[in-house]
Amino acid sequence: MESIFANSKNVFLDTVNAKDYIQLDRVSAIYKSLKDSIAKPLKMVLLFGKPGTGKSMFLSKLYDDLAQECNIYLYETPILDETEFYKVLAQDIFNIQYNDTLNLTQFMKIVKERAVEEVPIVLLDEAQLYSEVLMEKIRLLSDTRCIKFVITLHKTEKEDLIAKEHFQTRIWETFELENASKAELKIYIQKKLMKANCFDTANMFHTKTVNKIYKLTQGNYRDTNKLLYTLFDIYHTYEKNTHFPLSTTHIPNKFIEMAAIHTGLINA
Amino acid sequence: MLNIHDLEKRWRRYKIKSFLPYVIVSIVLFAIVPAVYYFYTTNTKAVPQKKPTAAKKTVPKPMLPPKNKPAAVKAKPAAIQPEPMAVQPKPIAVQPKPVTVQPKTVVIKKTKETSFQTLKPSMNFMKNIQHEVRQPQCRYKKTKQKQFKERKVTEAVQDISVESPAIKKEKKINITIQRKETQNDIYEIIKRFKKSRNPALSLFVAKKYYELGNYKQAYNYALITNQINSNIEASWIVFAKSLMQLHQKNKAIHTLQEYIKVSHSSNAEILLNEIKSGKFK
Ligand SMILES: Nc1ncnc2c1ncn2[C@@H]1O[C@H](COP(=O)(O)OP(=O)(O)O)[C@@H](O)[C@H]1O
Ligand SMILES: [Mg+2]
Repeated sequence: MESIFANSKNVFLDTVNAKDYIQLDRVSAIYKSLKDSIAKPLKMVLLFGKPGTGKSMFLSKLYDDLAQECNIYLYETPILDETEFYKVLAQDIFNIQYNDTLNLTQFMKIVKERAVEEVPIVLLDEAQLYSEVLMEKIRLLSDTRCIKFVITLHKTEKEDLIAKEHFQTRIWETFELENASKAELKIYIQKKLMKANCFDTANMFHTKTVNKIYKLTQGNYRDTNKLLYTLFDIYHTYEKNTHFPLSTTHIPNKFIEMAAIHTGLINA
Repeated sequence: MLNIHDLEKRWRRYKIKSFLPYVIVSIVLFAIVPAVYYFYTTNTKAVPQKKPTAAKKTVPKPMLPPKNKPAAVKAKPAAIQPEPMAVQPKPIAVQPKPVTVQPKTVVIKKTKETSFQTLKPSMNFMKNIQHEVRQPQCRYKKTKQKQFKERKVTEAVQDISVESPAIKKEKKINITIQRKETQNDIYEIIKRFKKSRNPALSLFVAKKYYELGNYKQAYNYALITNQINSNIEASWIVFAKSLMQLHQKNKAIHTLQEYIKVSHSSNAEILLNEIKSGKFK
């Protein structure tokens, strides 16, 4: 027999998969305007936010949604080397294989020659890892309006501002993702569990419990995932070791605190 | 696997720790209340004698034998009382830490940015993050508001323009917080690197460590990066620079020469010349 706690635990594995995307009002609103802005003749779209606010999830969802109708490419890990970067794009977008080195001028020529009506969209995750030089070249590329870049940055607030300023001189649009509010966190947790048919455990998250979790994670999705993964791990361990059944009406604070200690959200 | 017994033990310790302040406070309260009551009653009884010391003298009088003894005992903890009082605020202060510190950094950073931006128009977002230049606040506000009128960031920026004089005072705190943040950033990235073995991450770490002056670690991570991908110029450069900082000039020169042979990297050559001519600081 399968354990409901083991199933619930796996719901909170920290993975990014468009199929697991959960609609939350605010997130959906941003998602919609992001989608709209892609249709606009903007050169670049910048998506930023602290780690764990769902940027990669967003890109993955965007990719999944548009892959059918658009010319869209997703790069989850940055391609550091400049030549390699152009080569990969040339290969993926224009189906041109290059063996020698490829520089910006050459690549730009290809881009312009091959320009099609439907502008290819390139999604770059973790763009804060690209070098300043390459970033500048990506900007130049997007100025041609023959390729549209959507990039995500995760940095401290300070660096975010610089990054925004970085794009100020161009026509760009920024979207900021934030941690969930208490209400959103509740919806997030419950929807996530219900999606996996874990209705019993979804019902365990009363407002009070969610507030307790919020206090620990500030609504950060990644931290919440980690905490809840451990929480259900604790449940699962108790389930295996004890003979009397565990209550599924509410979650004792003890379990949440133990999970928080284990994940380092509480120092003890 | 989860070690539930160990976790329970840690949880119990944590519980005791977090209850300690309350226990101390209640002990103190229990001590204060009777003491105050005692002083109050003896003072009012001995109206002509103003000082409590004088009041104490009245205590041994055989007048109130039953009240007398326990009151004297309780008076003792009252004398100790300032000590636990001084201890108690500490553990309490520990808890709100993550909550209170963060908004502060946000506010400070934003002002710094916005009040420093005009001189340099763009770029520098990897390296020169720390010392940027001035830019009129309104420009940022406008674009921002256009996009998201309801965003918090704009509010924060507006707040700042009012509060700006207060910010100078807090600059020092700001610096240490930032340092910690970069440290935490690094740890976060190292964690991700360990999972993905992505050289972009290790190179990032190497550069950050170099900026922080931790040349040993900068060297280590540049080395790791080179092992994963030996074609990253920036990594070789950090590697050689770190060697220089670790007083390994010969090794640095040798490394650069070898790398230049393979890559013909002009940046590496520039660095090599700097090192050879002693211009490298
Ligand atoms: N809208 C969402 N629906 C479902 N899961 C989400 C959503 N937003 C974030 N998550 C989850 O939160 C975690 C962190 O999100 P991620 O996109 O990796 O953050 P970031 O890229 O900003 O660091 C991921 O495991 C992801 O599954
Ligand atoms: Mg991400």
